[in-house]
Amino acid sequence: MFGALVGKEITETVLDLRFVIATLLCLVLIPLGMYVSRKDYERRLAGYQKEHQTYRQHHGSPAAPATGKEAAQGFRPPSILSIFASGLDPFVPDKVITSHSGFFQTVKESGIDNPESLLFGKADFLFNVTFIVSLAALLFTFNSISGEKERGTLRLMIANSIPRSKIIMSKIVGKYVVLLIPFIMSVLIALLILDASPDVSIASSNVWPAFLVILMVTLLFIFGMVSLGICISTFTAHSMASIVLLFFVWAMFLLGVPKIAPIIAEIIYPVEAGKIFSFNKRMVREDIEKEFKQVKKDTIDSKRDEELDIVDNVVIEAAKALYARVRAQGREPTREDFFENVDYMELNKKANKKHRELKARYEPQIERLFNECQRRIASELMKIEQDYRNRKNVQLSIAMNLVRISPVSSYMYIVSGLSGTGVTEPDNFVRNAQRFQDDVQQIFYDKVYYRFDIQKKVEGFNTGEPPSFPDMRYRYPNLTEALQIHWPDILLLCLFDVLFCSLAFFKFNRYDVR
Amino acid sequence: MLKTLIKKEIAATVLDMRFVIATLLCVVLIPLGMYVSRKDYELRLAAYQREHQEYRQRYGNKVTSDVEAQGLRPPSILSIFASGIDPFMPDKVMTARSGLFRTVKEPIADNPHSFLFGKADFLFNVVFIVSLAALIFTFNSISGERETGTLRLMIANSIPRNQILMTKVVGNYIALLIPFIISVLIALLILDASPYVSIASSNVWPAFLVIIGLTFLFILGMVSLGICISSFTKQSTDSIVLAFFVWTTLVLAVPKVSPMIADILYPVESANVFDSN
Repeated sequence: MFGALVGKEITETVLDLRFVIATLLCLVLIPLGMYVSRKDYERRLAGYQKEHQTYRQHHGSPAAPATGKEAAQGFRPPSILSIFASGLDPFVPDKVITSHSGFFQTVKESGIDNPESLLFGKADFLFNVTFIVSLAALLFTFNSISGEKERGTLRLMIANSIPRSKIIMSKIVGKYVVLLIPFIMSVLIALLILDASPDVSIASSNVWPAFLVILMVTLLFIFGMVSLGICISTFTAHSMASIVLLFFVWAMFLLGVPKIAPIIAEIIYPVEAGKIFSFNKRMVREDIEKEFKQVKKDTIDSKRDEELDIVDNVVIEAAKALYARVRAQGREPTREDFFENVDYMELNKKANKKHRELKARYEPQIERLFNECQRRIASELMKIEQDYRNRKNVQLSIAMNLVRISPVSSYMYIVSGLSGTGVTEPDNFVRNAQRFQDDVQQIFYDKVYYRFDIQKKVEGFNTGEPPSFPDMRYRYPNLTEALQIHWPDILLLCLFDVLFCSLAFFKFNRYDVR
Repeated sequence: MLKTLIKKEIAATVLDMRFVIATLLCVVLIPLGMYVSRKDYELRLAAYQREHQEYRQRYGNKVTSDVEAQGLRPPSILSIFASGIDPFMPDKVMTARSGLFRTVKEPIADNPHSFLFGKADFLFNVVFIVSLAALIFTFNSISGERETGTLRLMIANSIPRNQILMTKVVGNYIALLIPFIISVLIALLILDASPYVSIASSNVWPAFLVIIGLTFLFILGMVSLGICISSFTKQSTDSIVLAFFVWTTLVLAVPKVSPMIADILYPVESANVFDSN
């Protein structure tokens, strides 16, 4: 009986105009979207490779002699899985520029190749599933129950002692199977288009495991949408009421909740903007540096300058005396008068020696003061950064939890997270950038550096033959890491499926079929 | 007769659940979207002013041969209504001795969610929500009346067909404009509450009036489209399916596919490749 009911549902839906429309949309939009995403990826990959090559050829090593202020550049390669979900990829920086100050700079290339595709958005796989396939699922199912009630066939089925649970289950399964037909066909065509690219191989170990998980999650999501449509149909007695309610629920799940939740999170737990935070960090650093420069001036420079003045005054007095003596002879003093005067030259040599002694005496104190200054800066900045990051994480966590009210958001989190373009990608970029800064620091900036604007270098480092800068080893989260972050969303999707199915069962058991 | 028919259309629509749902969606999403856009504009303006001030303090009077002059792009006040490609536009220009200026785009630092899920600005709300609401209001205007039998009664009472069609367009249009205008007024109040934005400013109100005029035209177009689709089909279910297909094609497919087709028909290398060359 169950098989017959499922067969009836499948036949009914396949012979409907809706199936034709949904098939047409899926077969056109999904492969087309995949083609566009593939082309876009190839372009970004070529751009990355070219830029990296140009950099290596022209700026891969600091120019000799190295000053210690040269900047290394690291490039972020495009994620191959961003073909499925562009997510935050257009907004994450493309380049890191290191700095001897320890603060790297990030650069987002501002080239706008195709303003139309930026204005209207990309129809990638994620977009097509969340908008088109979800709407198609709801359209297939909105009048499953209310429509049958209006036609009178529902009461006939119930009158023939068919259990209500079987009826509702056959509807869910039947509609799901029918929706999967065009979807899977279009995915297969899309995969063929993807595999035709010389830069992408589905069989690659970077791609197929993640793709399988994305596909599995997509099937879960579509099941959820089908169950939701049937669930809504059990709440209403008329098809028109079903479509209106469905439209409202769809709009709230897809548009309302994801856009409102971050606002609510910002209101509940406000955190200052990133630019203000960077500005505050810079101010703290500059204040501490100013303070230490003042301390150096008051304690070290004043004493050293006092002693230097005494020494220099003696030389100046001797020079003045020699000048007066030569003038008294009735001629203008020349350089030779000073260079040939043994006493004067001896005084000069003693003064230079005194300069060197003073420098050597005060050098360790300056070094200690500088280290103290750096330690204080690092400690203050770490405290401020930790505090900001904690507050930002709390806000992000509130937003994520609120957004998860919608199954669409959970699905988008999972797919974008698996594609390396999710909400955690900006943080991942910062981690990679910091690692690159640390690498360059170790190889270069620690070897030739500045103490209160005076260049110094370690023993054995030759500024005439500086080492070449390392490449940035950019690492996207692998499948295991992505699943560890997003397993709550996968669980939520399953729970939504169960919830909608259960609600549909519950409501249908009390549904008035007359 | 025309007035009576229009009143009948308006009454029928207003008493329907669709009107409640559309009103709820408009009154929640449009003002909320405006609030978010306003806050975002205020943040961008504050960042621009601070950066400009800092730049002036640091380099304004100390021009040396190694300093690159910087030009900063202020946020457009009207970007509150449509963010468009603003998130992708460079924020800064750095001049160079060689004559080739460089543009800089500040990477995102805040709220990755609004970039992942997109911004619900005025443009988005009208294009997606209001247009879909227009189709939901009108998809069964003709086919639904045919199913209920009232259409044949009207025709039998010698009401001209063009009058029936006109009343449907006008009636549904007015019914849809009610929640839309209420929500726009609330949104304007929210916007005017900002210390940085004044609706009465000569930069804002003329453009805003034009935007509203165009939006009214757009909504009329969507209402007419819904009624047109309804006249092609005999059953409401077929109408909604066809309406969905047309909406998806016009709102989603055509804008996204056209640039791609243009790229295939007339390929041009990307800006990065061009710059490298």
